Amino acid sequence: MTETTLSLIRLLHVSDSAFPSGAFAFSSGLETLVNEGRITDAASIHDVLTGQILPRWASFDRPFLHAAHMAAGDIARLKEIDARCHLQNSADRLAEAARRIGRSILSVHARIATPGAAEYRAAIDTPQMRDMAGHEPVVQGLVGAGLGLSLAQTELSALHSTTLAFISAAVRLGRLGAIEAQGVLSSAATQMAEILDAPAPKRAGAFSPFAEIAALRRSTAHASLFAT
Amino acid sequence: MTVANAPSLARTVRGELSFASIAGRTHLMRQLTPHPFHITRPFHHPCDPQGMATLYLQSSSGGIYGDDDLALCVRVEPGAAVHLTTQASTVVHDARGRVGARQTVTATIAEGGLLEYLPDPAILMAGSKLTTRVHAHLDEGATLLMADAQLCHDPDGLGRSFETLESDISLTVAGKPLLLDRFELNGADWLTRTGGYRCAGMMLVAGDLRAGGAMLEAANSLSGVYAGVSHLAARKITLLRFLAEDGVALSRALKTIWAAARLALTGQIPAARRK
Repeated sequence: MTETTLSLIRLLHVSDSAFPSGAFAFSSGLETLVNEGRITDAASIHDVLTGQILPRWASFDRPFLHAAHMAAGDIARLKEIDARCHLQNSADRLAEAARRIGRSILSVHARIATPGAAEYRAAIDTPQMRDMAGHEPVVQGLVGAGLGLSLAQTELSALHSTTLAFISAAVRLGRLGAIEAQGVLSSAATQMAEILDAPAPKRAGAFSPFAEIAALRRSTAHASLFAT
Repeated sequence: MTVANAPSLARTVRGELSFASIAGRTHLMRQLTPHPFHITRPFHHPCDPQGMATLYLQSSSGGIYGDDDLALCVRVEPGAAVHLTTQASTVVHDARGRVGARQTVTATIAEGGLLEYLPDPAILMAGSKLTTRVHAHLDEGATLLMADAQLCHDPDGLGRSFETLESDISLTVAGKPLLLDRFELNGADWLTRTGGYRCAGMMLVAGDLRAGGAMLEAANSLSGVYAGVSHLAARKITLLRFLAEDGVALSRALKTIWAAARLALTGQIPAARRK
């Protein structure tokens, strides 16, 4: 078995929708958009995915993932990157989602002995750090490095997971059928490839106000299936 | 002519405003307002808090051009209160191949100070490029209420958008970084990212958490406005982000949300500022 084969197996392992990341609890604002009647069909779900979710990952999550992958093993540096992510995440519910997913991924990898996971989990397991550290892209970066995945593989896995989580939410909200979901995924593939083929932004930032506002709005008229 | 060899007509200008409270009334103590900065005389409304001074910033040049580099430092001394606004929207003109304009506001607010920094929206003309930065440094016990908003305008109706918009809003309290809200955007992506809304804005309150619910309620009461509020309680920051269908809805949102915030913070409805 070659190193390439092993890393591909690990890539598939962590990118699988069955991996217990906790992302199933979040819809990135989709539930609000559905409840408010702003999302009605597969085309509008595609528009939110390609116009909001993917650009936000590319411009905000990706630079933090990139930095964390490069800093893997350096706990102090990882905490700095996490703190920066906290500083820049101005949407409370998206920040909370990022921490809950990140900490869930970190916990699983600590349990299955992924190198670096237990050490970082211990480093941020303090009351002061609870609401400030463990963000998803930072954890994805350090875990990818710990598994021996290349930066490109780690980014591919993270973007794939983000996309799948969103599509899964759309299916569970009853706005996409199984075949339609595959169609949306298929039509988003080109944009995903373009994002991954472009250099990562040097500085993180996000302008996806439509989905961000939706995530911030707490629906009072409907029982919520998702935390965002 | 290419961008690379276009002659620079850059205007690098630094302005300063300093306010202090004397016997419970805020005064403009120092001003440095070189062209194109221009200000009105400060005035006071009886129902404003802690002797607040209201000052209008004006531009004597009709907007921001090509590669202007405009910076304004505002200092609010202990206990002073300032409402700093503009006479009208700031037009950001077509960069016409130049590097783009920069606008930087640095605010320092001392203990017990209150700054309301509420400029009218930036009108991003087709072809414009703008980098806008607001850096606010608060002492413990200081309060900041600020807004930032943009709308796009294509006067020739040719379907051209602005070129680029880069925005950084950073807050520190007692020297500690608390928030960095930033983005870079190509104008062609504007309508996609806003879900079709032509205007976008945000209003935040730092140093006081009482206004969030009222701000959201005010925004939700307006037609053509889509808003959500983020409560960053541990940082004592409330940030309301909103989209508006057009300039009229945007202007109404800024006024209404500000009035709701002021009422929540001081118990008094502010007098409308004439523009």
